[in-house]
Amino acid sequence: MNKLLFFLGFSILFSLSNMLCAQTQLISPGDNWKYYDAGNAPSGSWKTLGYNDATWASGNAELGYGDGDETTTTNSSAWTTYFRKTINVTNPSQYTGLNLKMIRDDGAVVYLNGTEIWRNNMGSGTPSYSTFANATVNNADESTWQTLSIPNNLLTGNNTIAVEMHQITLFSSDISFDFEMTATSPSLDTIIRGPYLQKGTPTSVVVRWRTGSFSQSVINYGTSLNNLNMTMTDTNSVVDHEIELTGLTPNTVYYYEIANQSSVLDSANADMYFKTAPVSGSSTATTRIWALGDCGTSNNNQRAVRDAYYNYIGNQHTDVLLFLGDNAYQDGKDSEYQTAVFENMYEDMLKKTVAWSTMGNHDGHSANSGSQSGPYYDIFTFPTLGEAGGSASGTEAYYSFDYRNIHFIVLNSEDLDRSVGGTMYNWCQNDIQNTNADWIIALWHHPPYTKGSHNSDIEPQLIQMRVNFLPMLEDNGVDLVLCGHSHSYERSYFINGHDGFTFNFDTASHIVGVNGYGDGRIGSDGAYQKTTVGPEAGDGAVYITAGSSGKTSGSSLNHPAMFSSLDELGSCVVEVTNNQLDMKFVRENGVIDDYFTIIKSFPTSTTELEIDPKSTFKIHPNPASDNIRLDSPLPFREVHIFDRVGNEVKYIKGNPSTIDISELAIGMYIVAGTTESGKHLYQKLVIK
Amino acid sequence: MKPFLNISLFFGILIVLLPRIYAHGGLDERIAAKTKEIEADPTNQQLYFDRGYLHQQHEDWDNALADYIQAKNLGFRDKIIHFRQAEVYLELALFRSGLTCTKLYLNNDSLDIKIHKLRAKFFFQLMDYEQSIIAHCYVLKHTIDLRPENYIELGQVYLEKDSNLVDSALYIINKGLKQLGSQVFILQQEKLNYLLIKGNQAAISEQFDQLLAINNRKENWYYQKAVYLFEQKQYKEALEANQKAKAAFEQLKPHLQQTKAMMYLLANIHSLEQKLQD
Repeated sequence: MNKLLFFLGFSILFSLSNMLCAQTQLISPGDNWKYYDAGNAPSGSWKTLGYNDATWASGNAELGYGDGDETTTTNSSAWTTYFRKTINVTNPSQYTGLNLKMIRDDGAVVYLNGTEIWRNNMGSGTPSYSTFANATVNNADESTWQTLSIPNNLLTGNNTIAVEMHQITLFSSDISFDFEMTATSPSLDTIIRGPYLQKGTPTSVVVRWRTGSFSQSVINYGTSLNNLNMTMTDTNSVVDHEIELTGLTPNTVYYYEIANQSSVLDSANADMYFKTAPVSGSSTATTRIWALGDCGTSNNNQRAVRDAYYNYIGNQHTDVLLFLGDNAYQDGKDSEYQTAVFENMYEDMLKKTVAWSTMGNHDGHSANSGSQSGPYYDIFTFPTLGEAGGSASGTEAYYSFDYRNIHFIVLNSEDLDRSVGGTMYNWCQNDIQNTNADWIIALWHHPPYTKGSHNSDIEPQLIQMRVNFLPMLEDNGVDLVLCGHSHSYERSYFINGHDGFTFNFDTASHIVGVNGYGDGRIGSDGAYQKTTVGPEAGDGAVYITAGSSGKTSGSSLNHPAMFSSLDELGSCVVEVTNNQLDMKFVRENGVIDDYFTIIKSFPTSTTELEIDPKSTFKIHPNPASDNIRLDSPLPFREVHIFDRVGNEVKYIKGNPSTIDISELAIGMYIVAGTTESGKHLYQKLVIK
Repeated sequence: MKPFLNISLFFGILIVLLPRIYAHGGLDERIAAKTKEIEADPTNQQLYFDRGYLHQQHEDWDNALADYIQAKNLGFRDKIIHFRQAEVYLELALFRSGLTCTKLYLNNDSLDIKIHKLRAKFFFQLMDYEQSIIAHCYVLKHTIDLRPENYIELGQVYLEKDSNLVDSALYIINKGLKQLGSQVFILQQEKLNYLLIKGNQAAISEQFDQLLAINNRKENWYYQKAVYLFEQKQYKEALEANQKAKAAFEQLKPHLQQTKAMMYLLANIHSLEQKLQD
């Protein structure tokens, strides 16, 4: 190989590696040097380590004469001046290379322990006292640092740097010399977890990572891979790093790299990016969601599920990553998270897609929601103040966030109060009534319906979530519920109002829409239709127990609310485009074993609804016990009476002046009148 | 009694009993495996502790307690067993026994927040509200990641201690809002509840406005405010708030208007409107 090419290549290699390495200063600019300027060459082996330079003068750099900026002035009549410095290195094996910098005027040859390591502005051959430099050095070049990177040749103990500085001519007016040497070593500060993204919003994202040693946190980022023109730094030395980047542009790709105070730890590349969330609201763009339930087995099953999804999406971006709990078996310990999530598992996805999670029972073995402590709470950063959309919960145990036209509600079914009127319930009710999103997806760990490795008829957490939370969520239009816990895949029909036991499930009363009892597939039984008009308006949701992203556990899998029950490994892919939601269950072998579509009808205006403040109607008497009289400014073509859970209990065709309600039980009802023009007017009726 | 209630009672009993009768997924397998280990090594204290915790996760409190006691009898001395045992006693409503366990834990570690939090619950159940407040205050002072519930629970202890201590409860809630953020919904809601107890109309009205301010959608909170004003016989103000509720409702997207909850709200708005017109 051409020697020049070898050195050139080596220099480039070291320039790159220096970015990734820690550096140790061995000789600093301005250091003290021995020097010989007697107007002749020193006798003996002056370049070597053992040479006795006791008789040489000494002084701090910069050494030389003629420029007026020297710290130590040397003899101006010497054609060549000689310098020596001895340093002690206790453990040179820790260094991989040396970085040299020198101010030289005019030409210099540098030796390390008697061996030439650098020749600058000097011709070839062995230089003598009367050898002159190649070219004149003047103006800015006189104070420019020359650089060179070389392999480490340091010895244990003392090492001597010797330099001979040659004039360009007999009559040159100046010489200058200063020198710096640093040793490079593989950085002790390496990333051992992450980077991974948290709490993404349209204008911010949290980036987290863990290093092997304490260091500062630095992120360089920008919208162009070749121009990371922004930097965020936290000067505190930590091993678990967390930086929130703010002031970002919505729906924008940012490339980034991770660094510490001295070097880049994970350099930018085409896969090191994050994409800020779009501004919340309706959109024709597609949102892609990947949901993993009970994935944390740390084994090849988990990896097979992962790879099947990666193959499914190819180069497409995943917008939202949902962990449905039990992310790291057996106990959700930090070390288990390392192998089940961060290392040789999802690291490629986590660095470019924001991950959200709900807490599983195994996560709960080592974490406590009451004190928000333990690995689960240490590892994740979730919004507590509604930063990502939704109502501020004040806790990471349950929270919500928006992505494009979807509102996500994340509940804790593991170790918090699940009662109606409890804090989580109250927050959830306010939150779901606080969103303007087109779609509502709720997730928690313990499924309301399952006959897998868990049984929703007998386990308290599952029952409580079903009985307490489902009616409220359904009353407020939830579209999709994702859970885990049972290690299987179970997917419901399009249902509403089933908060009883398995044997209470009744297709006649719990299935929504003409397609609700079908497969939900376009081209087959037809997509599930979520209407905004009529007695089933706002009704219908699909419930998925998706706890087979790490293992399967079988069992009866015969819940009657389920269209599909599979004892197969896999994960869920949800893609939402405007008013259409598509879900696919992607198995570990890449086969899509189940899929369905929900289509929402979004009226383009509110004309179908009563908007005229005068066009309400009155009920007399109210409360009532036998007959009621309707006093409406507009005649009705039909009247419906619904009970509290939305069941139609009475229907009158025409425009009745009185209605017999004596057979109805005591309680609260809604009377809905449809006018001749199709407007719907509502009034509350209390039967006493 | 109506048939519905009979069925509810039956299911309620089932809910209580069935977990102890039927299997419980992976936990059962782990309990069975641990039982086999115990059979092979019946004097191993750690195995009893481990199985006790599995029973505890299974919400099988009696068996959990039995295993913890056996582990102690065999010499298990780690402080965690006192905490776990106390948790089980809380579920079994054996508050004095639970409190004793927390004392044993405190002998080993007097600083741990979770034991003070548990003690606050025991003291509350034993109606020793002063001690409960002290324990809650310790938790508030030393917990790094406080939750809204920390403040709400303490506020409730004050009111249980003395229904006249509304100001103390309000002070705690305000402290929570300052610490966690003024937009935390359930703290603002709890503040409203306390203000309603106090009955200061101006402060209540202001608090409704605060809840309106922290929510994107206003229809429900305008309606709630209207109901309050109606009850206070401030009909003009009630009508105004109710009209705002209706206007906010009409601004909703149609699919949000047509949820059961919003249909019900609209019916309520109309009903209140009728009352105000009558």
